[in-house]
Parts: sequence; C-alpha cells; structure tokens
Amino acid sequence: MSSPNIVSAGEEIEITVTLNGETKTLAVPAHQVLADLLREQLGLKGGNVSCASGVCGSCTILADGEPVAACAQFAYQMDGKTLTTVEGLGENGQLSAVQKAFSEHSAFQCGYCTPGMILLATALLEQNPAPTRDEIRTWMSANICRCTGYEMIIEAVELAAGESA
Amino acid sequence: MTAERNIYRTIGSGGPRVDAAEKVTGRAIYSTDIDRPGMLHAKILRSNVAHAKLVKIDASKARAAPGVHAVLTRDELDQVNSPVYGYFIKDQPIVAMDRVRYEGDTLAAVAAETEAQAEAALALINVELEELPSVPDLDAALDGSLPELFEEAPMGIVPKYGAGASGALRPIHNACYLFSYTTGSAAAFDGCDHVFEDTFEFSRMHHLHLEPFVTVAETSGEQIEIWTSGQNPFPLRKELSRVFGMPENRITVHTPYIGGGFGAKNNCKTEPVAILLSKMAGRPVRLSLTVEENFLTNTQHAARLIVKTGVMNDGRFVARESTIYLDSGAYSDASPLVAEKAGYRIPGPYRWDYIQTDCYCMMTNTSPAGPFRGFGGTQTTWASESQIDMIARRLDMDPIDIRKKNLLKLGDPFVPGESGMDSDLAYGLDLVAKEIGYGDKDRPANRGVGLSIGFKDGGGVNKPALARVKVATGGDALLQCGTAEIGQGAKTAMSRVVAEILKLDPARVTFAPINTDHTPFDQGTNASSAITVMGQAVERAAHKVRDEILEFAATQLGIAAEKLDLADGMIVNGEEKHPLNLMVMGYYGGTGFEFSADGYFKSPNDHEAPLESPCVFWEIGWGAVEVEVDPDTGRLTVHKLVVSGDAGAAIHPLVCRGQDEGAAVMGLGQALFETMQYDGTVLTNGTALGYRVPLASDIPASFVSITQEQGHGPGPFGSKGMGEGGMLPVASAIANAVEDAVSVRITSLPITPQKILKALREKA
Amino acid sequence: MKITGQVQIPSTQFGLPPFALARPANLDEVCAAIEKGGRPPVFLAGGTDLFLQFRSGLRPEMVIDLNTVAELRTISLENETLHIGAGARHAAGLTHPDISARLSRLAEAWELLGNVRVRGMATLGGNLMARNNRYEGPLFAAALNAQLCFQGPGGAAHISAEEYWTAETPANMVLSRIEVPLTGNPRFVYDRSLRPIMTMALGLSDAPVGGLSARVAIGSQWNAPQFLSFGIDRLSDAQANAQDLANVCLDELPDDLEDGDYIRSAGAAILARLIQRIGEDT
Repeated sequence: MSSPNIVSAGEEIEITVTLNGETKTLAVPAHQVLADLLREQLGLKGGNVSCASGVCGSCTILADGEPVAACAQFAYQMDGKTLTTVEGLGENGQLSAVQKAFSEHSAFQCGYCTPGMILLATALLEQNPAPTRDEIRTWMSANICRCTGYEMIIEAVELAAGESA
Repeated sequence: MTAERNIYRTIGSGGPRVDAAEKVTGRAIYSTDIDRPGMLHAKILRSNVAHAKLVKIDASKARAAPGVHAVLTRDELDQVNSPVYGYFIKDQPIVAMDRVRYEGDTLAAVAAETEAQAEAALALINVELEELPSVPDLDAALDGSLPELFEEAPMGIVPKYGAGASGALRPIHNACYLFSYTTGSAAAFDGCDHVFEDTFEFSRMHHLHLEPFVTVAETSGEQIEIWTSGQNPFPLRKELSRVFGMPENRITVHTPYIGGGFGAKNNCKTEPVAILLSKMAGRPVRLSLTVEENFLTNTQHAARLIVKTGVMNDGRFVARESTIYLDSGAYSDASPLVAEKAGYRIPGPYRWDYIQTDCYCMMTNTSPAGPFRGFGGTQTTWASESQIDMIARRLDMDPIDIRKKNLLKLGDPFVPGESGMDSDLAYGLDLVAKEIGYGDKDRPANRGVGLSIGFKDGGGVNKPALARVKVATGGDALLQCGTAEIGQGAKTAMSRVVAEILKLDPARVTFAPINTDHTPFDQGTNASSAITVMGQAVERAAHKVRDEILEFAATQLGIAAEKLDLADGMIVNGEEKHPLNLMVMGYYGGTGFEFSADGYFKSPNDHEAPLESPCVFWEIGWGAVEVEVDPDTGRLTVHKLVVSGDAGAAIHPLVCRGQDEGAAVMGLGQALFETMQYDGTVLTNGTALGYRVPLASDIPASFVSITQEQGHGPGPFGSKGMGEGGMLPVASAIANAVEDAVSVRITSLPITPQKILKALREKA
Repeated sequence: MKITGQVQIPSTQFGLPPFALARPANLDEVCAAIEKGGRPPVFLAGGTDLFLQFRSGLRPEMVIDLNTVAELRTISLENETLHIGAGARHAAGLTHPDISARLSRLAEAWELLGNVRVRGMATLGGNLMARNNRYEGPLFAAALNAQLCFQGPGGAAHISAEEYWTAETPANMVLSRIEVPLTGNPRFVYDRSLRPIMTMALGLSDAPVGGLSARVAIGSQWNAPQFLSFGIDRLSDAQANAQDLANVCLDELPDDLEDGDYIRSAGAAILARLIQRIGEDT
C-alpha cells in the first residue's frame, strides 16, 4: 500500500488561487474554513455568514463559476480554483449587470443575503444567459431571503438577463 | 385614489434606495463585520434541562484554560447594579442565578482569544442542575398543579391606561401579565340572534433574521461602547444604564446596518453578557450567536384565542368577548406589550356594541417569546377573520357581504376615544376581491377563494421621536435620526422627506450613522412607525432648517423670507438664483457655516384613548387567495396570493411593494408549514436544515401585491407605515379558501395536508 | 449544538481545533489513511453533512479528504450494472449519459434533490452515509435495489441500501461505490409533492421467476425511511387495481410511525399514482 499524503495538525498547506482576478499563493492550515480566510484574513467582508450550515447561502461565493457556500468548505480545498466574491464583481468601479439590476429594482432589503444572491444569479447567467422565469426561480431557490419574498429578486435577474442580451 | 405624485420632485419616484450601492457591493457594514483591536470571542454555556434549580456551577477549570480572559457565572453578578432585565417586568437574568427555565437558558459565558478556546473552556465548566417538573405548553401553564416559573414576583410595572383598558401583574397561576379591554355592556349578548364561540390555535415561528444576535462591546474604566444589532438603541442604552449602574452619557450605542430583525432585536439580548465579559477581561468582546442559539433567544408568541361573538340574523356584529392566552416562554420579554396589542386588536376593523377582552401572558419552559412582526395582530387576525367567515357560512351569507356590512368607515373611531380609520376598508377589500376573481362561479372542483382583512394599530405607543437636519455651506444636508435601517427602507424614506422639503436631489442628503452620543432620541424602530412618527419629526426638522436658511437669506438680500425659496442649494427669488454657499461665505467667511434644526413628534397623551394616546395610524393588510386541495392527500396548493397595503402616499414605491411582499411571504410560511416544533420542552427543529422557511420555489404561481395610496396618512405627504400589514391576512385567507374549496375548517396553524385530510375523512 | 448531559455548547466549524489531513490519491491510500487515523474514520467528500457534524461537536483527529481520489468519482456501466462512485457529485450523476439513458426518471428526480449549490458539491455517497431522515439518496438507492460497496484495510464488504439504513456502518471502511443492477429492465418513479412530510420512490424490475418485483421507499421528516415490497404478475393488472394494491402495501407500515395515519392514507394515494405512472418509461 502506498502512503497517502498527510499534513499534520496545524501544519500549513500552500495553495494557489485566483481570487477576483488576482493570482495569490497562500499558506492555510487544513482546518481553516473558507469563509474565515476570506473575511478575517483577506478582509473581504462583503459576503456574510448567517446559518453557517451550508443551508441559507448568504455566504455564497463562486468557485470555478459554481456557487459554493464558503462556510461549508475548507480554505485549502480552493487550491487551483478561480474564486469570485462580491468584491470581484463589476469593472472599473462600475457595477456588474446583476448588481445594477438588483440596485435599480430594489431587489434587497436588509442586504444580508444580497451578495450571495447576486453571486448566485451571476453564476446562473454565465451558464444560462437567457433563463426562463421558472429556471430562475428554481436556481434562486438555493438561497434564503427573509425580507423580500423573492419576487423582486427574480424580476431583477430577468432584468439583468435582458440587459446582457 | 393616488397621491398627486406629479407635484413632487422625489416622493413617489423610482431610483435606487440610498443603501443600494453599499448593499449590492457588499460594502454595507453590519455588527457582524465589526472588528476591534484585541477583540476576544465570547461563547455561552446553555442549559440542556428545561426547568431546574442551579445547584452548583464551578468554572475554576475554565478560568485556567488556554486563551481565556474572562468567565462569567452567577458569582460575578455582584459587579452589576441589576442582574436582571426586561421590559415591563425585570425577570431575565444575565446568567442563571437560582434556576434555569428553558432548554437553552444561559448558564455561563466565556471570553477567549479564539472561538475554539472559548468552546473548549465551556466544556470545563461544571454544572449541577436539579430538575423540576416542567411546564411545556399553554395547557401545562394553565394547570395549577404544576410549578410556577417565578415563585416570587419579579420587579414589574403596569403602565397607565386610558378608557376601558387595564393591566395586572401575575393575575393567575403562571401568568406574568393580563391586559384587559372593555367597552359597552355585556347585556348586548342578550339581544343577539346567535352567539358563536370558537377556539383558534396560533403557531410559533422564529424570526430567522439572517444576521444573528451580535454585539461587540468595548469598555474602559467609566465608559461602555457597543456595536450591536438592535432596533432600539436608546431604550437599550437606558436599560444598560440601569443594569450596569452607569449614567447614560457614559454608554455609547452604535447601530450599523441590521441584517433583519422583524422585532427580535429589541432591548437586551447579547449586550449584557458581552459588556460584562469586556469589563472583566479589559478587552473588547464579540458575542455572536449561532443560528441554533437564535432560536433559543427570542421567538413569536404561540397563542390560543377563544372568541365568543354575538350577531344578528342579518349578519350585524353586536358583541365580542375574547380570552387570549399567549405562550410567552420562559421570560416575559415584550409579552405584556404583545398582550396589550393582541387584546386590543381582536375586534378587528368592525363596529361593535360590546367588546370584552382578556389577554394573558402564560409562562412556559420554552424559548422566550417577544416582538414579532404583527405583534399580536397576526394572532388576532388569524382568529377573527377565520371566525367571520365561519359565521357568514353559518348564516348562509357571503363572507364579503358580512364584512362590508360591519366594516368601519373612513373616519370612524376604532373604539370610543380612538382615532378614526384612515383607510377606506371596503375599497381595499373590493380591490383584492376583484384581483382574485371573487364571485367567479366557474371554479373547478376542489378550488376555492378566501378573503381577509389584517388589522392593527400602527405607530407605536409612547413614542417620542427627535430628528435633526443640518445643512452645510453648499446646501448639502445631513439627517440625524435614530430609526434603524433593518431593511425596511427607513434611510431612503427619511432622506427623501428631507430631499423633498429642501428641494434637493436625494443624493445630496446623507443619513448619518446612528450613535446615541450624537443622534437625537428615538424610542425604537418598531410598530411600522418610522414614516408616521419619526417621519413627522424629520419633516418638522427639515421645515425648520429651511425656515432658518430663508431667514438668513432674507437678511442678506433684504427681501422677506416668504418671498424666497430654497432649491438645489440655491436661494430662489423669482427668476433670480443665489448660490447658498456664496451667501454663507459672504457672511461667515471662508470657514463656512452649518444650519441646524431639530424636529420633535409624539402622539399627544389623552386619557380618553384606551392606550393613553390615540393611535397614530391604522395598518391594514387586505388579502385574497385562491387554493386547490387534493382530496386524496390533503395537499394544499396556493395558486394565487393577492395582498394589498395602503401606503397613504408611497415615498418609494418599490420599498412599499417589498414590505408587503416580504410580509406576505412570512405569512404564507406560517400558514402552510413554518413552525417551531416542540416535543414537550425540547425544540426539535431549531437548526437551519430543520426549520423550513419559504424559498423562491414556495411562492405561488401568481403573486400580486397592490400598493394603494389612499392619501389619508398622518405621515409626511399623507403617508402611512407599512411592513406588518401584509403578513396579517394570509393565514386566515387561506383557511377561508380551504373552506370554500372543500368545506372543511382548519382552526390551528399551520394548515397542513395532515389536518386537511383528517378533516375530510371526518366529514365523510 | 453539542449536547453533553445537562449542558449545550454552541459548536461551530470556526471553533475546530487543528486536525491532521490525509489526501489519498487512490483507494489503497484511503485504506492506509484509515489505518493511521482516528476511530471511526472521518471522511470529507462534499462536506455538506460533515460540517453539520462539526456543529454537533465533532472534533476529529484526522480528516480523510476523498476529493483527491479520482476513482471514487467515476460512473460506469459494466455487465448491466451501474457503478456510481460514492464521491460522484449529484450534478455529475444526474447528467451522466448512462443514467439518463437507462433511468431517465431517476435523473429527473435527482435533479430536484437539494438545490444547485448542494448538487454541485455534495455526493451520493455522503447523502447515503449521513443517515439523515431528510435526505433522499437512500430512497433512490433502495427503490433501485442498490448495493453499497465498502472498502477498508481489512477487505471489502457490501450491503443492500435498504439494510444499510438499520445496520452498523462497516467499521473502518469507506463507501466506495453504489451498484445499481440494470438487469430486469428496472423502472423508477419518484414523488416529492408532499416533501418534507413524505416522499416516495417506486422501483420496478422483472423478477427472475416471472412477474415483477416492486420496491417502495418512503421518506418522511420524522421517521427513518420505510421500505416495502410486493410482487405483481403484470403491470397492466397492477395499474388497473392500483389503489387496492397501494392500500394493502401501505398497511404493512409499522404502527408507531410519527404521522403514521397520514402516511398510510396519503401514502396509499401517492403509491397508486406512482403505479399508474411507472409504465410510461424508465
């Protein structure tokens, strides 16, 4: 039997990630949660941690374009991946199409779920630029919003899809 | 009926909310984002026994654990002035003293360098609890043979009430409060053709605000500074002043953006523990609760409502006698206030000859219940609007007709001594009835429609509000007011009021951060009161500062102030425009000046009004729903949900729409499935995975919200508050629709397939 | 929450002490890691369930990361048996051409499981290993008469999906794959219209001795999954008498189920509908 690679407790693992367009090499211990790396270590406090159970999606970020709960992943698991947080959206100080739609349509209230919702919607439109309303609804059911009742969020995603068309 | 929007620059227009840029970019700062140098992490040790004497608690090993800077048990409570806090009744200890009263009750707390160290230290605290018989629910609370949660009376007050209203502490076994209201004569029942008595059960939800309860406390010698996710910074400050024996001017409360509250985030929650640990450790302390702990901190009130209603053959309402039991959980929290409102609202917006209501707050060994969107109005609308349909069917009347026959008209006082209705109730009812297709005879089998009118007084009680508007040299405005932005759009609404009055682009109005040292007093962000109460204070402040500016301009120009106007930072005199900044610097020099004025509003006291002050406005939520029942499984499908609120005048239309829709979806969840499930005293679904809340996939195929602007509100420009009304009618509208569809009546929440199927089988 | 006797401690993944991390490249190395690490072994695949366990107080000495084991993610069709690697993400399983081709109704049901985030990260293996009443993987597996194949330093073991629910997890082993037999023209249909109160999977396959075997798996939020089975001669007969057949079948449920009356009653209605629907295609 060959021996598996074993990192001892507390020992740091070197990872390379492309985070919001910038390639970084970081050293992280295995037990560091991704949300902790992003918020506490890298100062990216845009994404919010709520249930910390992988259920509500408030902490959603994009890993290789897929929506992922940052509270339910270890930082080291992101090695080799391209990550996008809300801070990485938009260009040259301009809001992205999804951000703009959420803003113009007031598709938020307290805002705690909003960065996660926007990233979730961004992933949808990258994979499916012209989704039907049903497809939007199904996709966006991944994340909880306690304030809006969802209709205005779905309309904002439609708006963003229309803008990018 | 719409406000004349074309005469306003800003009011009623579209455009992003003032907090949009921050929230869509993630730059918005919440209490969970606050980081202070040297900050420690706190964790709470909680009881796993529902009712027990705290025989022993030994934290010596925890104190010695790595990274630990402070450990708080009852042994440290001599450091405070008052170890208990509460609203009317000061019954909740910072940490358990002689007993614990629910699974989750606070036993101890630790502050350490890391969360891992805090957790490890908690495990080293030795606790011995001696179980007592427990009181799991209302039936148990009413059972005189089970123990009282409070054997001795905690310190408590009964506020002054006006005509017909009264309150009492500890009225019966295991009740902490009773609110009663009466008007008219009981003899009215004698003249009734029919008297119907029905009992309704209302479920318990948790707010599930996405931002947890969280406080960062930093203390130093004679000063306490906190950043906390709380909706009422000033009353909080006052209570902390009492608890810690420190004057209010040594306590600073910062209120960053709040990630949802829905009522939970009021008065002491995480603050006392965080502050005390910080004092003990000499370092800033962060206490942020887990989602599991949130369920153990504050919830909605479950309730039993026994409603006896006397009517005439023609459907006229005559008399209503109600007994309401609220499940207040283990500590009183806001229960007496909820009892006031549940007891007050049960008659609904109808005419009565006689009303008699008793509302009891019963104590049980479960999570403490407190303010929750609807605040008693959710419970009462469930019962009242369900019973009205039941009565209509018993009298063979159309449910819409029986309502219209009895609805109060515009201007009619709710009860003697009260303010008059400020919405045309029948108009709103017709609006939602039309939208749902009420009266369409062509409905397929097993489908039905139901209507409901949600009703509550809005604007709060005893609510003084102060605001300050400052205008800097160039005409840009700063608004200081203590209404917290919890998502409801308060910052946007208030900023627009200022912008409208000063004729400024809203982008030129900055809503200043809330800091109790600088922000003028506000009683709290509650009761849908912001636009009608604080809004009037803001309006007055804006008018006053405008007057001051024009008085100044008048002296500079030698023209009467009445002839001048202020717009876009210019003094306008007919065709002439004089830049304000030049005028200011011309007089005050290059260092400029800032105009400043305060506004105050409080609904005047009046002993004729039952709650000592006539209600500021009436919050109405009209609802209509179309459902389909699967008779083989009881499965309930909501095909269409219609809700409508009357904004009076919509300051920002999408904000109003969002309030109605968000509230309605909360009501939908409560109606169909969302509930805290207790097995005795054990909460079995108090986790993110276990507690089902509405998702986007739960929204009905057709969901329509109609924002009315009837224009009768007391707020600026005729506005009325929103935020709770949309939740109130949904459950009863659905129950009414189910009866319409398959002729069974569900009187308890949630309206589940199991209950429907059982009722169908029993009917057959 | 971590519950210890009379107290509750709010545990989270942010309070995890450091642990040793094994990153095996193949199943042999997984077995070596199992030998080295703590008891029972703690595996990280999608992480959905593991992070919930952290919140219940799990504090492992070693975590064995299965995401580096490519062979756990493979899905293949061999000898009329579908081999689904335990580490295959839901998203990969439900879109796999062999599954879409041979069990399209399974693929459809699988697409409804969880949400887009969960389907992208979580694995079928993790779903089965969690033994969580709310998870639907066990129902799919049991209705399809799947076998769970484990591997460990001491050898291999397999156990039917149905038996796994109540059996002990084979000690010091990793679930390596789920085997779904495609002999006997298996058909599958699923109803989750009453989720989370009840969901139901129905699997049908040709019985070796003639006729058809039906397997019913009923999930409900407050009970362990219930597994029922019955034989029928011809599908057309069964469909003609679907309600009677369903009533008889559901009568076999134990008396002590939470919501038992409802599950029996509404369950019979749902089963009757599934029997009607199952003929349509695979």
